Amino acid sequence: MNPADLLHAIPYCRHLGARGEVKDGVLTLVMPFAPHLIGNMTIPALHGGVIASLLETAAIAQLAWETSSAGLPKPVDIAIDYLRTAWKASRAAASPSRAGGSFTFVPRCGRTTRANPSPPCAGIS
Amino acid sequence: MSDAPQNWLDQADHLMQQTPYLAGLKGELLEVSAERARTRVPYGAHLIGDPDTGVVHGGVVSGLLDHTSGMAVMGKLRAPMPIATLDLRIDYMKPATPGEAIIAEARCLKITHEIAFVRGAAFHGDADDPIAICTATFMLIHPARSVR
Repeated sequence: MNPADLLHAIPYCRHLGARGEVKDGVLTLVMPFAPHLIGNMTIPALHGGVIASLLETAAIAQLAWETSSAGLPKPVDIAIDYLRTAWKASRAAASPSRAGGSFTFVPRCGRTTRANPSPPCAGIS
Repeated sequence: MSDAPQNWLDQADHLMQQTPYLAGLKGELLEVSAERARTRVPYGAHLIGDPDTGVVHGGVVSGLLDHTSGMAVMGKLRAPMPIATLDLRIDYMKPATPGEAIIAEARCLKITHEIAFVRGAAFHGDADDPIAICTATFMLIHPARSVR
């Protein structure tokens, strides 16, 4: 299954509004800013749980895509470092840094444009 | 310490309902106090992470644990103050059971001038049989400092 279809098949992904884009062999999740994802009304900023969800999904989707496994991979643990407030459309990409009995992911998540990449708002490992 | 400063916690459930992400999960606050915070999210079709099994997405569990951990910090504060998650580690122990509500419980173990340390767990009925456990730290954002 291609990543876009795989992500669209996940109800919670549709709730997040996250979709997959493949460019030059890299899968990136793109999640537009949406009012129902806000965690802090005064900024307003995306909820930390939304960013955690996006990062985790990026890791799952990347693994599912690379391994073509039957069924989705199950995360064992995740560790999120929040680096700054997320208040616009967010992107996340993951790459397995070690493959074997276990995988570790180092995705990045942030608002980026090609001309002016901004620092990531969170990282996962 | 008087009881008065805790009164603002009476508004906590209302505040949670007004947080759009939590409202989208249909999350409700069960308890918030200096001792602990407890929240609940009912099973919902839009929360499914694995369409083959109907198991809720891990991100729902981490989102609920993040929020509940933050509530546990708020429960320790004398007055409301903005806080931000610095880091969050989740260990998934078992898949959530499709159809069942998820309860999250968190305790703020230590609070300093600027940092709060929290541990929590998500489970169905039995806290000793967790779906996931978490460790989190939060930054306390002092208004006087935030304007500089």
